Amino acid sequence: MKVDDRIESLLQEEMDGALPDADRETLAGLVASDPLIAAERRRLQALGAALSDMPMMDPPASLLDDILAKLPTPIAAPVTKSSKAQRGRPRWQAFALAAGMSALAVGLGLGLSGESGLSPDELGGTLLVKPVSEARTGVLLFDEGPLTGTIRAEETDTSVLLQVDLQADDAAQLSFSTPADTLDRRVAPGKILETWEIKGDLTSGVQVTVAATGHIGSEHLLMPTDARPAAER
Amino acid sequence: MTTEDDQTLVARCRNGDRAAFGDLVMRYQKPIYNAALRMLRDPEDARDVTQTTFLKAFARLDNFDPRFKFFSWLYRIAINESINLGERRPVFEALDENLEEPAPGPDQIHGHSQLTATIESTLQRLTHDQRAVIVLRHFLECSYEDMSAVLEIEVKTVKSRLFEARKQLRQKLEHQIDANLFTARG
Repeated sequence: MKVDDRIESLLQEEMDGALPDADRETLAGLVASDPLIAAERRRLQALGAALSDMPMMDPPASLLDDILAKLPTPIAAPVTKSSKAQRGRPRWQAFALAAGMSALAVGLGLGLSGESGLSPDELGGTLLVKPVSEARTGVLLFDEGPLTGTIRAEETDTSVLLQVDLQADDAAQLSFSTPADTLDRRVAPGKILETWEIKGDLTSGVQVTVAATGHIGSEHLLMPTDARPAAER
Repeated sequence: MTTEDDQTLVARCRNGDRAAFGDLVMRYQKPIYNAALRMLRDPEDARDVTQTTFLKAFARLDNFDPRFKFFSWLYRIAINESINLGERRPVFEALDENLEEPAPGPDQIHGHSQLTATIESTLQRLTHDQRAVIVLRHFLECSYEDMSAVLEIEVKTVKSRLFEARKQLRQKLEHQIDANLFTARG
């Protein structure tokens, strides 16, 4: 014979230390008067004890170090503005003029899009041009502002590898987007040597948006070397 | 030595303190590893889930609402990762789904480790959702309310899921439990 589900439920709540006071006496009476319920209680408690007594295993000794080594970047204080809020030239210029803050002078990657309307001069950066080759690569150079260094992009079959070699003077957020994917990375002051990956290709380009605490934001389009460079337009 | 609470460590992490995140990993790697191990029964998978859980937690730290318990949020990631991984891999256990557990032999009656192995095997026959409540309750010692927060379901659903999971376990482990009871009562 089976114990009624309602009583079984009370037995489970008792085992879990969650039996309401109002039900405690009722259950005690049932257990005392019905051997079937008493036996069920013993079985249930035996099951609970068997489960709870199962040994806890130690994780691999290297796990902690492996996790810490794989943290994407140093984390930083929250960035005040979302990257999307800062997109578009008019907004970028408005920030630059109105804020009166130190300009975020960043370099520009190869093949800056014609649609963006920005030029390397406007951004105070340097355009690097590599000879056209089969390898579809591009590079963003950051030579002033809170970030200095490069982000090199290399296209694989399904994604773009972003080799980041930057020095951050301030906390910043880097946002990358392609038609297929988005990627956000916070960086804290210090050296950033990381390789990130985003789905997509360089033909469509990788939109790179930089937002830094206390600075205006900027955005760039990372394109392959065989795209017509903005400096030649 | 003082032990900082989770919220303090999370706040330090958000301010760029990587060491604080290391403290959180040290604090929770063992329960999460064991939860994943019970969910998946494979040490390599458990390791992967633990690693992924912390990396995702790190990446999403800004989304964590400090009004809630950090461990609930972390366990939610771990359980979801375990379920996702479990659903992706082949289900070899299903081959003997309908087999009864064999009656206990002498070794089983006296062998606690045998009981442990049998429980581990039997856990794999539960659904992912059922296994998750067993893991949270018995291995991570979560209350109904904690489980509700981790699984994002109502407490009454936690109870009914736990009820069903234990019922399944009871049926599958009937011989072992009775044998164990018999031994314990001597």
